[in-house]
Amino acid sequence: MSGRAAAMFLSFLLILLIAFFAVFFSGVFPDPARAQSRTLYWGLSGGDVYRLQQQLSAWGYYTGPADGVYGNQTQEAVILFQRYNGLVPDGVVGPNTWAALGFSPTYAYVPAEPETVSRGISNRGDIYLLARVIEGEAADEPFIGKVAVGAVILNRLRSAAFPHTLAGVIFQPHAFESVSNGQYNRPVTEESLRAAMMAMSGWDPTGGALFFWNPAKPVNPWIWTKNILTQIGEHVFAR
Amino acid sequence: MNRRRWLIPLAIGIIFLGGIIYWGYHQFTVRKQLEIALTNKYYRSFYDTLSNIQNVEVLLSKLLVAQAPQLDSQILMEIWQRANAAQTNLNQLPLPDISLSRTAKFLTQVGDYAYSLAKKVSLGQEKNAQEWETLQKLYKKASTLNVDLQDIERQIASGKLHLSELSRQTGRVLQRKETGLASRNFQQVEEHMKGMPTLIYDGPFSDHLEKSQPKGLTGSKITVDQARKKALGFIDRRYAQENYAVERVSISKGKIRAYNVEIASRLPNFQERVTVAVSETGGHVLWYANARNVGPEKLTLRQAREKAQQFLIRRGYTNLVPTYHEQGGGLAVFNFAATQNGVLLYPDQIKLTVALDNGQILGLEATGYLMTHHRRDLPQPRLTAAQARKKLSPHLKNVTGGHLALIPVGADKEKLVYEFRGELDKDTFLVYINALDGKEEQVLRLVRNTEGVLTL
Repeated sequence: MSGRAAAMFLSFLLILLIAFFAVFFSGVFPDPARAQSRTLYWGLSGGDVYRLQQQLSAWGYYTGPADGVYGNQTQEAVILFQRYNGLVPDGVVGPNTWAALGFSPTYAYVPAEPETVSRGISNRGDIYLLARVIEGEAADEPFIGKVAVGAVILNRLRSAAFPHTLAGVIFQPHAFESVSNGQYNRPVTEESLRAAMMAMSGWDPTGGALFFWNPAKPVNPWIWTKNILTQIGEHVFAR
Repeated sequence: MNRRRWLIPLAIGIIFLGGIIYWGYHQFTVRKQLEIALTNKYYRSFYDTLSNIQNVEVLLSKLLVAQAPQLDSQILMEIWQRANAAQTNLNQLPLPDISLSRTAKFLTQVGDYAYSLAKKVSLGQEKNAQEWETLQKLYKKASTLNVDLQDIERQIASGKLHLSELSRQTGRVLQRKETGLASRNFQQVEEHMKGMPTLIYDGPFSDHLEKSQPKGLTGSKITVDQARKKALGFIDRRYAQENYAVERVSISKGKIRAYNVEIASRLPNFQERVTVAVSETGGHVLWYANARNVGPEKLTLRQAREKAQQFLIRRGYTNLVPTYHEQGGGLAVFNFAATQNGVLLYPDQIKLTVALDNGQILGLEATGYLMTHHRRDLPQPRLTAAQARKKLSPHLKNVTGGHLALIPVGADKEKLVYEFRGELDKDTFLVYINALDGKEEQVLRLVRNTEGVLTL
């Protein structure tokens, strides 16, 4: 091996090393918000395919397993969904189909300018915050389960033992797992927003619950001393 | 040449090692900084809790010897503030394994009680013997709490206890034995809060409100079959009843015991899932919600309100009038208030969700209505609407309205009032004048935007 070749090899490795660190420090982890709007078609796989399958099977279009692989069965379900919803039945999940499925990464709540502006006062911020926690805690729950999680958060506001502001309840340390681990930063679905809106308007499927947990997962033993009111989906609700 | 052979890998190895060491050190310092920042926040919360509770304790003891209403009022307002600040900070402490709910409740109630008492003494009344006794009980609890927290503070000061233990989430399972110390200390605080006397007063966190019973729940117990029938017949269906089936019935043991009836449509191309809560007593629908997707908006708000009104009338609610609404995500939520002899009963409200794509009623919420609705003995107004109107502020312009309404005041009281609507600049307000003594009971600001009409 000549000296020249060795030097070239060395500099190549150096570049590789620099590239490696550059990638490492800038954070290689994909942004879930961006991953959401990817166009999906046969042969792809990933978390967004999984979410697609979840949503399609929740609405009865898809009967196969939610395995995150866009196969024949998934394509058939997408075509069926598109046909029933007045979309071009091409089996490709583009922006229109994503929107019809209820996924909208940047959710335009009310695009139009208000007629009489009341100096920007609205409860939209609260609804959005609530919807994010609902999405984080109950993304895979039925709609009523989502409203129920929203209701629990709002019931805490009215309870003497919990903080008296919405942000106080949501960001209380260790209060909600999805807030602690950042899961609530996922893009909010239309369904979660609707659930938040209904919870805010007074719907409470739990009958006044202050706690909820998934009995299949390990939880603090003291939580079982609470008075269980009902079970909705995977969650147990208690006061 | 041979020397070069092992020099190159060595150089690469050293660069790699250097890179990894640098990276590791960088990660370590960043983590350390974050941990310090977090721990500092926890210390701030702890010391804020501590000093506020100490203040509450001292102020409560002052109340026991103070006599003049205006001084009482001052002290009570400060207790209200201090207790709330203590509660807020206490809830910021990261205690994963235990709950400080009793302590938090105590602080809320101390503040709330002080506030309601402050309103009373600000009218010039002295506190009575019973209130003095309650204050004494609260003072004793507050001093126990203070002693416990001072104890924790002493341990922190002497270096035996570190709040940073609590922020260290990683490897918690391994170091559980040591981290138990901080948790155990706070556990003791919570233990000492047991045996808190029941507090009944005119405030939103009074204990008697927990046990309030539904007033609108009439009728006898119903069976599961009756609940199924009621649910199927009540919801707003797009197709005939045969196309819907009850999938599951579960029991909800909330404030009003109910059957939760889950209904699904049988049509393959029409996916609908509706959950209906039917009360065990009397078979009233407490709420229902349809989880179907909503298409693009086609209906105007007026049309949607019309649909909502028709639905209520068909379901036997004939005494309701629309009040406010909210809009968003293809839905409109309308509030309807009950009326009695032309008097608007604001406490008794039913909410309806209308899908703006086809006008289907996607949800109804009547729990609040069933909790409060009953035939009331409304007093005869002593003022006319014209007399009440004279009590309004001269700054209020374009005044309209003047009809009788019943509004909720305080925790669970109701007052007969005249409702006026007026404007100041661009803002619209609702002002309520007591129909018996002409006192101004409430001012609400009406917020109107594309999301609907709200009152604040």
